[in-house]
Amino acid sequence: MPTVSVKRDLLFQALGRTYTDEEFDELCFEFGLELDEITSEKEIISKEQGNVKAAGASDVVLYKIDVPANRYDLLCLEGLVRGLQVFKERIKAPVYKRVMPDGKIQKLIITEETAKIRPFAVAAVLRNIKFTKDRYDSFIELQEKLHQNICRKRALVAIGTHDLDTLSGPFTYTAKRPSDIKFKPLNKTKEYTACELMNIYKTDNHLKHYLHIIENKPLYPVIYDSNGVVLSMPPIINGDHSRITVNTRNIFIECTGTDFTKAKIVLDIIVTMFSEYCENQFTVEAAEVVFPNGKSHTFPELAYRKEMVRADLINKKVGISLWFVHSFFRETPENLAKLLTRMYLKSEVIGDGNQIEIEIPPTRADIIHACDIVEDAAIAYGYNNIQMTLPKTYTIANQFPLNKLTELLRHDMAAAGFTEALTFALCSQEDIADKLGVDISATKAVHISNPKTAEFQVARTTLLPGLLKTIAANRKMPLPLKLFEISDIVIKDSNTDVGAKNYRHLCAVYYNKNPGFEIIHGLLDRIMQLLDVPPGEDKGGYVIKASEGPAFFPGRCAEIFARGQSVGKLGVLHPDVITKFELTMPCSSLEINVGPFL
Amino acid sequence: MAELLLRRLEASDGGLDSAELAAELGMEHQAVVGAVKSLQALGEVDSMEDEVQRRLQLVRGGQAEKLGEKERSELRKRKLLAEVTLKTYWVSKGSAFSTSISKQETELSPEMISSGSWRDRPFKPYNFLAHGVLPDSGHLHPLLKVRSQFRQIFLEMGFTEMPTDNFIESSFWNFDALFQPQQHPARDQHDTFFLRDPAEALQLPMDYVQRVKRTHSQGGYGSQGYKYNWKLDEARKNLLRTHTTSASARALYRLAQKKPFTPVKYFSIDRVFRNETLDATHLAEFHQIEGVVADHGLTLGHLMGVLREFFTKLGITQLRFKPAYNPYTEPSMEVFSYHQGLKKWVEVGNSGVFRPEMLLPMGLPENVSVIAWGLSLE
Repeated sequence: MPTVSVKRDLLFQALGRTYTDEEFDELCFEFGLELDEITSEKEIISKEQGNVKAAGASDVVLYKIDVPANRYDLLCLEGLVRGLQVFKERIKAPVYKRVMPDGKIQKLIITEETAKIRPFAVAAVLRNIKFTKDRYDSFIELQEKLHQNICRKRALVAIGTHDLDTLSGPFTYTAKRPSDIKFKPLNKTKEYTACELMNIYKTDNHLKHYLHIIENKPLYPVIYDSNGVVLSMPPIINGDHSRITVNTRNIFIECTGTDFTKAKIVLDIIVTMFSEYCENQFTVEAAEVVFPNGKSHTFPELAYRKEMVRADLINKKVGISLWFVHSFFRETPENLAKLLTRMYLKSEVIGDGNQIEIEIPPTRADIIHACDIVEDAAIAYGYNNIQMTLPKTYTIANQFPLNKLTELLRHDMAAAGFTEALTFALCSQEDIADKLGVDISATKAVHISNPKTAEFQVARTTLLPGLLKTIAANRKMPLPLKLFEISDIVIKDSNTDVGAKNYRHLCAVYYNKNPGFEIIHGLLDRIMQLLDVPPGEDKGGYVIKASEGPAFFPGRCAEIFARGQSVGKLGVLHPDVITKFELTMPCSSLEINVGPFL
Repeated sequence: MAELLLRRLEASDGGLDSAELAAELGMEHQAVVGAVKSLQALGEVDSMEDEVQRRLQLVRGGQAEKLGEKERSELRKRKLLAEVTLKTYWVSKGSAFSTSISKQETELSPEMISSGSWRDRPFKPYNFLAHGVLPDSGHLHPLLKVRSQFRQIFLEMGFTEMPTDNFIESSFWNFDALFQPQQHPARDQHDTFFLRDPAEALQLPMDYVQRVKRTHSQGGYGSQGYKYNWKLDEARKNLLRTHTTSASARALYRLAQKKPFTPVKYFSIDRVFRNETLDATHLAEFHQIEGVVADHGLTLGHLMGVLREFFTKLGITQLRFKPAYNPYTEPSMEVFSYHQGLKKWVEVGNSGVFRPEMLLPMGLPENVSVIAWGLSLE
């Protein structure tokens, strides 16, 4: 969940009233937000870098609010305030308008070179805007939040905001060879070529994460104005020439990227949020974007979409009408329309009195289906006001046969005096191969491509390493150690749709001053007894035959055959295996596949 | 040392006790005695009282009490004096006093029973405060015992267990079929374990895949869709499942192929994998519990009702619901319960109604709703 940090007092000022922390927490809960932390800049620095660095930092109380990942309109103070005010019915949702400029419209021309690297761009103008330090900070912060969130760390969309008064259009968005791009970037004092900048930013803690997006491409994206001034080299850095300050009055916003839909959404969010501070409140000046094929579009789209939903559908999906008895609980279409309007979805009842027409504003890109509208109606109604009922679905329960068998076996294994272990399904390659004396390629194991630690390179093909590691971690416990586990292993199998299959194995180990083969053998006999498998191959039962295995001591290993197939092995473990798992005592083990016994 | 001794002697009137002087100077007594003896050897010492000898003689004479504590500990340290504690018992006749000695029996034996001699023997009393001998037993794993309890709760509520015996899943079933977009952060390398081998799924139900592709990229079934380029290669990528909801998706897809539709209640409790670094509150492997109900006309109220019954069986009765967001459910709710010990509301689960964009491409009828909830076993 994204977290938005807002100054508490600014928030209360904008909301027009103060709240206690508990009251605000409650308001957040109702709305679907979470007041995650109450802190201050001083506290944050103090926690991260110590009290010395924190001295002199601001004491101003900050609220850290967790916002749902799909609500881009709540990622800044302005959006939060607007959303909450509309929710509490203190203000009417403002209507955002795109207006044509008095003079010439700003143009952004896209050339075809961008097609291979970052084809899409949209633009808009915020005219006569008034910033204060707080508003300016909020503006910058929102761009950062959007970059991290919907823009997927600038890979999908990157935002550039520029002081229009320092530039002159029309603007060109093109792509050039890195050595041909030279400009003075933000916060630097001289000009650099793009190649030099890539090197410089390799050590910049903030920007180094974005270099890979264009680094190895032949052409880098770049935006110029009509005088050849570089506005920005997306997605890395803006030019210093057009930087915006607290005193900037007219802003040119461009969003470039690889996802057209998201670029449009991002532009809409920025302009709707901050048009509040324009002289002509909530209006955004249009800009024209000319595509390589010559077609031009006007942005921002600021589309208001209309959807029609039947009132009884909402009632039914939420469960706020109990049509078989308490009809006075039903929400009338008018009430439902009111509830939706509180959620920034202006609605009114139309037609036969049962239809609700909902206007979805450009700030609610998260509404893509009627079910999203249903959720908002439920939130406004109050989740905890909904009556809890039980579905009348009549079903007979069934256990998954393999799990049912596992449960029965588990209890009997414990009754036989063995202790259950629970081990990780992921392990290192050595655990299932080298330490057991086999080659990894012979194991048909599933390999993981991006493990964070070497402990999770493969999925286990046998339960034995897990149990041996458990014993190693419990060496100080009194002997004998008798452990078992009944759980899944994974083997590659090209006959399945994904290419691998789980098998349910039962594994038991006996660790003591003597290997205890007879005990493990006895356990196997007991298990077969429980599974109703008689001894004797001819009777369709089980038998053990002398066998060999790299993990076992020669002459003390046997393969188990039941119902005509090999189901596993048992034996005394080879001393090499014992020492490789950092153990010291003799050990015998048993491992069988439970599946054939269903 | 000898000079020091003489000077001190000069300063004092009367005499000096060698042990006291040693303690005062913080020196070893032996050093002082050495000094005294050396002076004696010089013949300039008039007389010397062997304090230690005098003290020991006192003790021998039975007058040990005359020695002070300091003196006593001094002698003890020099191993010249050993304090021995003599414990004496006052013995007197008890109620069952007799002059003949008989041994007490500890336990009843078969011979005593057959001969009847137990009637004449005294038995040693039991010490009921001692511990008994714990039986030599095997044990079940505590976490798995909890898993058994949850299984029991689901079965009691009429839920059927879904097959979940596949740790390996394709991105298609784990994400795409659940209407989770391909650029979603959860599909990052950081959060999901992707596979090197086998890297891609071998088979996918292609006509269903086409419907899913269309829903993501263009919309349909009443939805705007996400409007991005959906790639088959991305969906083919194999991974270790990040939730058992993929198994629920498979189960619902199988259900949708059976006509006519029959309502079901499904559950599963099995292992899921997230690419996390391990610490005190994070595991890379853990168990997820999931419950699903599919029927006509299910509502949010029904979901809350089922959750209330489920949690009541766990002993959790005070519940509150909070709006939340999941890519595949809408409406979504986080379930909170009041923890008496911590005196605050804590999250106990996540739930929601599956989105039509997920259910309709599977082929489920339009008026069928599917409610679901999940929590972690750990």
